[in-house]
Amino acid sequence: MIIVKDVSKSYAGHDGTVNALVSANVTIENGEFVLIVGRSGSGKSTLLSILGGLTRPSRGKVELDGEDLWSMSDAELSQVRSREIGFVFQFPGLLPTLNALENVMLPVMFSAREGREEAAERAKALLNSVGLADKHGSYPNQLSGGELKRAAIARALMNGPSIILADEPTGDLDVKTELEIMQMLQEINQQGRTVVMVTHNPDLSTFATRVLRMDKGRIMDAGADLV
Amino acid sequence: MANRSDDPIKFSRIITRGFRGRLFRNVATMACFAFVAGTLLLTGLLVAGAQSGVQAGVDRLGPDMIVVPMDPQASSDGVFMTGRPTDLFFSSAVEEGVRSTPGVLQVSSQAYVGSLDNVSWSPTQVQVIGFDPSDDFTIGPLLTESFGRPIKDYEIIVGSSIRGELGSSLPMYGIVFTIAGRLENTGSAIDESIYMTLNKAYSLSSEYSLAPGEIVLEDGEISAVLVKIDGSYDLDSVLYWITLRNPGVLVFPMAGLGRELADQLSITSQGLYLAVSMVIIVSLPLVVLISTMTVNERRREIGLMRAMGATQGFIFSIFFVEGIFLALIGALVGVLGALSGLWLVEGALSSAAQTAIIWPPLVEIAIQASLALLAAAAIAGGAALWPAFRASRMEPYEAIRSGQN
Repeated sequence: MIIVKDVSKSYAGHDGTVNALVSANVTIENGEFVLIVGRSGSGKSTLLSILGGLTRPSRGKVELDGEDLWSMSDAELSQVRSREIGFVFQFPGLLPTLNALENVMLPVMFSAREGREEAAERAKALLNSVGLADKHGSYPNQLSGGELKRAAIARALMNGPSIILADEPTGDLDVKTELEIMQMLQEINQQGRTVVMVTHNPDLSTFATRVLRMDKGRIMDAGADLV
Repeated sequence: MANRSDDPIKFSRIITRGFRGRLFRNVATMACFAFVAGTLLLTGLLVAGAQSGVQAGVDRLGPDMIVVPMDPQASSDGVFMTGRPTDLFFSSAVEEGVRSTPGVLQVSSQAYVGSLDNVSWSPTQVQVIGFDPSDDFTIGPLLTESFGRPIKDYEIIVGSSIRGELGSSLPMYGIVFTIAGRLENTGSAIDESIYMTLNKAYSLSSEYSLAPGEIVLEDGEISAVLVKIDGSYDLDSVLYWITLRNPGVLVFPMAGLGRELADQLSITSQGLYLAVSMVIIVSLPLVVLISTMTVNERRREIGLMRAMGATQGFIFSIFFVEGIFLALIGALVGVLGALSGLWLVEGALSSAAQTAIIWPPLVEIAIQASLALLAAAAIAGGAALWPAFRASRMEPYEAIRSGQN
């Protein structure tokens, strides 16, 4: 369970202080598929990055299964990111110097959960499961937008996290590929994982169990359970 | 960061893959450190080699002082240390005057016969010197093999750089001489010299006055008297008495000669080290700038790895090790280049340094090369600290959003 308590984020902009997130309070139960929607600049990505331990809030607490993320040391927080959370980003989020298989295996390097052989076998299985059986040795610049996204999903699942955080994962995809990716995320959710996804497209709410609406850095509607 | 043997991806693989597609950064950094390490090694070897050359020359000459004709223009260390000949002479009677000075234990006369260029049996100009075998104490001790009898007039003793086997013939001034002895390598002008008896030198000067200037010696003249003093006498006192009793002579104590050359070397080496310092001062900010540019280029990569669980220490290690690795490759190129360059231009350097250069033994060269590599690694470490620290402290999400790749 993720509990966000009175979290704010502000930073210095060109025209003074920018309040990217203002007193956000929300609780996300295990197994939910939460869609965070809002216009550009509404603070949805900021909220997601704070949930994932990627951005330190200016104020407030984020608890993950009772542990305050932002009171952890760098090593502890890194372990949480590695073992408990899988990230999928909008841009081609693979390291350009590693091939698809190496990219998928990379999180194991930081979690130190298993050895090379086991990691390689699981990474291959994950790539196969997202339809990239013939792309293990391909580099990111040899993959299409949809393939990059699927490889990123495989990588997000590599350490068996309980939470998947996706930041506009379908933003730059055509409708068909967008549908494929959403179905993939839905399946992941149905396997028991919590999925929190940021999108500017409210039409995708059919895949979610809850929709959280944001505007001007505030959570306007924490959403009712859609299921 | 050390590799665990069973890591899914080797740390070294992350490092080496990081070099891909960054040709400018790689080449600029390597070139910088090639220059730094090469210059450091070159300077170290040049100074050490020249110091060895001077020391060997001073150590092996044997005499405590040299008496030469007064010459307001030039220093008479030339003949013995640097190969610069002197064509000033004084009467052989000076030898007796010096010998009779209190405190003088032994004297030996030498006479400059002439210089030979472009001879097939020597790569460099050769000095031909006459010496008196009857009272010699400087040439005999340097022989690689004692031939156990007095040297004859048609025989010569050659320095280590002169080609030819013992017993073989060597034509000179229209006469065929036999090589009777060879001297050890001294690192001084002795290596490029040929020694014949004073008798033969005088007969050459009277019988073979060939082209003007070829043989400058005249019968009964000598160029220098080499002096060994009694250990119980003070060197400066003996020097004073020789000067007083033999008007028109200059006396050079060998220790002073060595010191003079050492001072000259010290100034040269200080200049070289100053040049190296300038190179380091200029290159350090350049390397920091290039590394910082690389960190900026790889912001998204840094953010992604942090999102996957990489610690700040891991990110720091990547950029720190990358910097040192590139520097070491560059430094290795620089070290090999410096050694090759030295080997190719050894003669010119020797001439520029005005002393023979004796290269240190291989072990010392290896140590100097290792020190140059270590220095490059240390400088690279210093230069990589800030960019690596900056990379490790980036906020992951900000790095991901603002990154380029």
